[in-house]
Amino acid sequence: MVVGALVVRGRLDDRKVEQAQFYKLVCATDLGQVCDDLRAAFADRVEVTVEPAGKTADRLRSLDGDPGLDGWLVADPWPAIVDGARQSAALTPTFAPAPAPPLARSPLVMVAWKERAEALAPTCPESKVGWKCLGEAAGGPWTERNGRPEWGEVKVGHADPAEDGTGLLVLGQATVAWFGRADLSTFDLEDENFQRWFSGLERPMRPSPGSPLGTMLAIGRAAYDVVGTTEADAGIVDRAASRNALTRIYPSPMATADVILAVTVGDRGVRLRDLVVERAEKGLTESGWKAVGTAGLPPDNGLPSPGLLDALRSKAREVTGR
Amino acid sequence: MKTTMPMKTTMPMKTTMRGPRFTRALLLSLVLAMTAAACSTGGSTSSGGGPGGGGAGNQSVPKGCSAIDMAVSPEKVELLTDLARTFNNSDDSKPGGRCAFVRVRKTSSGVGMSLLTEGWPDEATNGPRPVIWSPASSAWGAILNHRLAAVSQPAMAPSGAKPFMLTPLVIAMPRPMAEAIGWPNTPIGFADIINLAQDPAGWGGKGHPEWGPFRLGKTNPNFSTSGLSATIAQYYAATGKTRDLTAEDLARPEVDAFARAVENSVVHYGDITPTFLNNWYRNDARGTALTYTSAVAVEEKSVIDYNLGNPDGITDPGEKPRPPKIPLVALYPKEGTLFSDNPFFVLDAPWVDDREREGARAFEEFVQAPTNQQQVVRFGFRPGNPEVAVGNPIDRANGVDPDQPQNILGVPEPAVLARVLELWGETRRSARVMLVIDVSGSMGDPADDQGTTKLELAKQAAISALSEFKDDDDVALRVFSTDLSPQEPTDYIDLVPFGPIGAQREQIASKIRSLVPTQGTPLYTVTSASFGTLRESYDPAKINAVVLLSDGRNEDPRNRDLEKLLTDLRSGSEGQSSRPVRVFPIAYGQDADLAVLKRIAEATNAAAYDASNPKTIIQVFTAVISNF
Repeated sequence: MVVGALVVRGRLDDRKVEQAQFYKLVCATDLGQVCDDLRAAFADRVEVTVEPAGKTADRLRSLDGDPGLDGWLVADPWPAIVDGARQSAALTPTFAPAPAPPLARSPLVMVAWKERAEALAPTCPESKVGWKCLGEAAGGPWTERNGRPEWGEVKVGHADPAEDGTGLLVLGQATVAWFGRADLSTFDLEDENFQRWFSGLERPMRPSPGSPLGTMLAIGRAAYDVVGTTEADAGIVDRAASRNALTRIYPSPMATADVILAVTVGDRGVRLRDLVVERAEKGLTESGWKAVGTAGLPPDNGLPSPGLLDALRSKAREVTGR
Repeated sequence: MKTTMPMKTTMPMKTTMRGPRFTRALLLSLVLAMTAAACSTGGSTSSGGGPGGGGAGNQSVPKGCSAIDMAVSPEKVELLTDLARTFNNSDDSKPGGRCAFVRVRKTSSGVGMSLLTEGWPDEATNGPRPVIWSPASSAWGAILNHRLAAVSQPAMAPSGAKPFMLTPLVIAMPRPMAEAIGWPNTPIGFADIINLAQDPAGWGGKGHPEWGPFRLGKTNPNFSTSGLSATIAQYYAATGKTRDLTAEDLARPEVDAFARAVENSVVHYGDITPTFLNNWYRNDARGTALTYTSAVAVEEKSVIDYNLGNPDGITDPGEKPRPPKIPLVALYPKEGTLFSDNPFFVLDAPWVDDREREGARAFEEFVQAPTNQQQVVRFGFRPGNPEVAVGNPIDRANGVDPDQPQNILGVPEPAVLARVLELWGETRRSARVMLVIDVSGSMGDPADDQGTTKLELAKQAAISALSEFKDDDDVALRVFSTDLSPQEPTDYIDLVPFGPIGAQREQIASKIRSLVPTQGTPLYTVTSASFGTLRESYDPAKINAVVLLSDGRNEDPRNRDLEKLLTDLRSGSEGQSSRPVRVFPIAYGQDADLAVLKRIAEATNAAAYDASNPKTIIQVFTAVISNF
């Protein structure tokens, strides 16, 4: 009986150890295959939850207690947005204070139907399609932008900045393009001309059940004329049946989505990082993300501060009502 | 693997869909499960469009495998059953070394949404709780989540579900009619169609008085995705918007008036678009396609099927498709249209476990593979995987245009979608319906082991169906049997004359309760007389119809001339000045003459319903009433 009890006790202790070494990683939905790859690779060590960055952020920003995760694989600066909000609410930070280095990077790009980009370009500054110009054109008739009447209205898309990890970065890039600089404060967002432009860009934006680029490719010109996304996501264009009808645009100024693994304060976060970081980097580069240090990439992401991005997120929600 | 469903909600649709229309969706869910085996899919026999156990839904699961039950909208059941079979026999069905076995079951989108709202009750009737739900449009997922939220339940349809395949809503129109309004050179919109529908001159205003008034065909939006999409598009046309439709827009008096005007041009409703397409096809054979219906809101795929000679999209064994004499063309509304995007919702439901989820994802990946997506194209759908090109049969030769549409309409927010459905119940075209019930002696036969007679069940069904009418529908009650009355007409009696049912619902119910079985079945006489009664008192503002419930064959030695009956019905239903009265027969019990009843339905461009299992009669009655 005693022996039996010891055996049972021993097994319980083993389970406790297993439990302790079972890490929890939240992976942003827009990283797609990378999350699935990590789940498969570390099935016995890591519980991977895939969810939109906005959903994770909203849960963590006011949570008082166990965050329920050891690490968050997501585009920078979502973790900083969370901790910034927590700091404002006098809550302790969720993530380790040392800045997480990027694991991989990808320039933010636009994908457009060629004939529509060609029609639009002459109406844009320097005849180059950019976010400032798109914000002015969005929702208006194509006939005012050199287009044909049957094209309807100019349809611009990007992923929901309130929910999607990279959608918010695209909106940040567009805002930088309007102001011509990245060192913005929330006071800048009060500019009436900016507000008019911002509403013009965001209000007609049609939500997409999945990635806007995927919707654009599947449905065609009826869905979107131009979408903003990452270069990595745009890799799908090369395999699309309609690839010859599409063009990729690198809007100025360049900005990048940088994926980071933000880990929670404490040993578990560090151990999780040690466990998965290499695999995550590999998965990202295999999915079209560029390795850090790749030639041609700017030294930083070219985006506004985390606080300003958070303000843009709120503003987008306010304008679209979503 | 299945867990007990802990959630039990109150019926949320009562609050959002207002009354009887709503219960139809739920009741209909029961129809096909019980009647599928008996229902013919060809001709004009309707199975109601609900879950029917079609596909591989009843297959047993191999030992050690996890069942991945899938509820899919009817138009893709054949395709997905094929794909599931291939998947189940492949290594793709063993993700992580664990075996997944996909079983596909047909469930119309509206019915699936209703069942999920209720936690998918009664698996014996409705089929197993699905791991994957693939309605025709992601809008159904939005409505589901909205209704669950209304009863404080978590969402079940996850966001970001990928489209499996796509097909746009189009307006199908016979080619000569489309040419008469400027196709293919002039872009045509919903607003143009609706203006035409409201023109008192009808086709005369376009130089073709011989085509009569403009007649619109549209399915019931509570059941059918094309009906839902068409109703949304009609509200957009009323507001002049192409996105961001709001509840405030819907409340504007001019929008309400517009919606009512559109509904007034509707021939009849119905749960599935093949009812219209089958009737159109038969009329084409008779040379009357242009006076049956002018336009029907359908999915692009249906136009292809029709033009290939397969109007219901289902190829029966031995069937040799014969293209119609007058093809249909797809009009892509210039304002934009809506796509049926056929999402794969791997449900966030309490009965779905991780292993099932893993199997579901493996199947989703499988169907997205280019090889399998090419099969999607062969079925007339546009591929969900952009790596696969749109190609034959989606081409101009089949009446469709792969370069269209150029614009899409915004899918309204879930609360607005729910309001659209509510409003449809109020604005839909009113009906004038004669309920004609067989009280022949055989109706006294037992319908079940408890000794309940067929008549008793039919009485319950008819009384239940009364609540499905809206108050200003005119309803009358007639019963028939040979020698029922000592004076002419001897074979039928009008128990309640036509009147708004709001004022006489209880009176009709009371008369129905008192029915008793009597003599033989004068089927032809009562059909002819009822059709004549409706034609004589025809109300052009309403859908005029006879619902004829019969459990037997014609037993009237004085009138055995079926061909004369059919000729009379046809001649009264054709031509530009016809007074279209639809006869919707219900073949009740094993002895009912389904073949004859089907021909009667066809002669009046309606549909026959099969209740050969008497226990299904309540649900079948509900499906019939979806036409009004």
